[in-house]
Amino acid sequence: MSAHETGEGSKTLIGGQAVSRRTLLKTGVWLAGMSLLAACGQPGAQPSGGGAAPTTAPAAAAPTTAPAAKPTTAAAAAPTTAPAGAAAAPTQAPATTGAAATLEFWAFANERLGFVKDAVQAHPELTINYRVFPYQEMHDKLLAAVTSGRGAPDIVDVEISRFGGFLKGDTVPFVPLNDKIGTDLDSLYQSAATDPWSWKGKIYGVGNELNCCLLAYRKDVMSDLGVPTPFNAWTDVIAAGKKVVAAGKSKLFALHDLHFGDYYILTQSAGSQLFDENGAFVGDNDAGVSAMQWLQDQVYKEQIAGIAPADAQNMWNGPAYWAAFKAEQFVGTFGPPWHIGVWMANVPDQAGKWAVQPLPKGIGAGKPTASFGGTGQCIPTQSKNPDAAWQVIKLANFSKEGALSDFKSRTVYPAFKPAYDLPELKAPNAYFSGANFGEIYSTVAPTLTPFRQSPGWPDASDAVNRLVITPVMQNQKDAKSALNEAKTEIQKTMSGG
Amino acid sequence: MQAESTLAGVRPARPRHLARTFTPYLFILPFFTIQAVFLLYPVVSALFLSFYQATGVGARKFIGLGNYVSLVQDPRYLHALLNTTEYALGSILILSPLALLIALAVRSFIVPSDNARSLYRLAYFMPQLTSFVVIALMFALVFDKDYGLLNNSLAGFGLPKIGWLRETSLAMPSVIMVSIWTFVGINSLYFLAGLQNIPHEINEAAAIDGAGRLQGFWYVTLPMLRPTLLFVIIQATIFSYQVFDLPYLLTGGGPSDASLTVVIYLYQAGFQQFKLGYAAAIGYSLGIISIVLSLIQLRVFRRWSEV
Repeated sequence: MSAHETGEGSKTLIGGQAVSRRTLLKTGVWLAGMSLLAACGQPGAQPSGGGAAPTTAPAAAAPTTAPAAKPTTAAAAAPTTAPAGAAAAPTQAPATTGAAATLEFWAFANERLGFVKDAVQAHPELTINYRVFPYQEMHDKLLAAVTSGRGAPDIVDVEISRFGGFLKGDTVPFVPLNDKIGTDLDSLYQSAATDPWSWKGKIYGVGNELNCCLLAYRKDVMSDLGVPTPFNAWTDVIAAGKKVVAAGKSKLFALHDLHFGDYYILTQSAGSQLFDENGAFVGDNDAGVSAMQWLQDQVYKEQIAGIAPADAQNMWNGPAYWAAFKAEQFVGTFGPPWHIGVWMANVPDQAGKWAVQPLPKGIGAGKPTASFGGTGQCIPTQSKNPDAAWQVIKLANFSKEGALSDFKSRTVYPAFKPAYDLPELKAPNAYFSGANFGEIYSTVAPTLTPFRQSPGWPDASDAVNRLVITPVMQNQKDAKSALNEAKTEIQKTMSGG
Repeated sequence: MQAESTLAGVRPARPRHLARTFTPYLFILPFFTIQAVFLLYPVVSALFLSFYQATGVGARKFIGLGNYVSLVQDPRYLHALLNTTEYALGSILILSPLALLIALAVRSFIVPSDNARSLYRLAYFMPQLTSFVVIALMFALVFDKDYGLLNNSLAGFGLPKIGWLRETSLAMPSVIMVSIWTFVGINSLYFLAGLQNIPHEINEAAAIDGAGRLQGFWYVTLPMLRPTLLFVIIQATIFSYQVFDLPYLLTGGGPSDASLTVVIYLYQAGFQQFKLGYAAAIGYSLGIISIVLSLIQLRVFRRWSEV
């Protein structure tokens, strides 16, 4: 009787030993079953090799480098009253976690993790597994996780324009933080730190960036043309722009025809927002229309601005954009720190030639600044360690250590008010003619128009880009009718149509 | 060993018979398990989802064909469908003939050396090996209005600067151009394979009968290429209706939806507007369109082969 006939089947030599077909098959089925079980397991249950290696804080609680003169919020509950030396002491242990709890932290940029790592460095009880995904992918994965009810991390970076989408439906998938923040809320510029991640009175996230927008211009060019600076009103800016254009080399501004950023900044400066306190779109009000019309006028009527060299994936930071500024095609801009701050790296040969100031008056309410951009740290309701997660958020966002770390690594000006006492934030910036950014930002921040979040944010920004920005800036469509059209579509989308 | 043989010898016949019957199925079980879990389940689940109003996180509401009714009334969906059809027509009417022309050239007397032919084949296939992200980054620079290679080349002829990816009338044609560059190589390889399957004798016989090059191509080569043509056109149609990467990376579907495709709209509906049921309905509508178009093409080619 052959092996086949006896049911033993053909045998394969593995590692010098004969393995029957049946054994091979059993092993295969067993492995497949195990793989299936593993695949169905909770992805966040253990660290993967995909992201950064788990970061464990050093065992020894080294003293932090916080300035001795001022208190630090790293020392747990009383951030503004704790003695300076308390920074070195570990904060109170998370209530529901043991020392072994490993937190999952999702982010979409490595650069945004530095200040978190620095802030938790002195806390060995907090072990964090950082995972960094591309921007779109991370938010998509988060949506999949919160919708399916499993796989969400303990802490997640949610970008400001994506947060509104998570408010759709009848459940908000993040832990309300009001009670956890408590009176510490007063230590933040709320328009930048908590308003964008708040809905119906509940705070679901904390952002660390104070993205106040300023006007920046080439001071040397203005001096050469005999233009007095700083500018008091936008009419002064337009007059200066005409002189710049008449000089024959440059235009003043590079305005966007694919992205709503410029319109959004000027709408806030005019005293409004895209949404009201109930989440309804109001971007077509007088402030919005005047802001949009102003932008169109600068390109076609006043002719002091050109269209920004940008592409679909990079509206504010692409190679063509920087090439244009290097070639002095444009000599002015307005925007938040993440935009103006990268001038030093991208146009280094113009160091000392730029200057900054608050936004001039003349459009609507004429507020000296506006907020644009930001990312908040949220705790999904699926988190098994919400208290430990909050501990991390608090250390990173309510401390001078966290603020200083992100300032040093990304030149981020913090939304945490006490950090503006730090000498580093007060240092003059040589690139921008010695401007004291910390002082300017802390001065204008209290005037920010309160941010109004809405479930319709993603729909509104998309509709404004499509139906307003491009038609108005490319085809000279009337700003009011374009905004009315956008409003109709936004209302229809928000009502489920 | 002796003991094993003895045991095997005394095993009842029925279990052995069962083992023989089921063994092949067990071998293919892993494949079908994976297909069921990662393909069949999502497909069926998406079908059910398309009958629900599922927006954001929370409860879902059964609305029957409501999402499909909304689709046919949605101007953005219809616009995306029109754009995608324009893209598909570009693939079929421009890309496929161009690929055939390249295949004929590579096989003809124009490229006499075998080494040169291999070089051409390799060169044409290279875009297929390149990541879409790299292609998009490269062409974003080529198409740049102020510093792009294309506009600077055209400037040599005194032509004005054109916003290839930024003007609503030019965005989709520009995407089609990139698509042609990317896919013409692989399609010409399909045609090359088809041409190699045509026996030389038939062309020789046609030549002896007095057929010129054009007549030989029209009456001999082209009919013999029918299966390849069918394959190329059907796969070009299906893939064209699924197009996402290139337009998304080059234009994001803009400006003002000028290059919005159905799959980009699906992505936006699902992951930006969080309308999951609606996104599922868009996906199913795409599947239905692809199947219907493929059936039409099969029927057309069948008629052609009967002529």
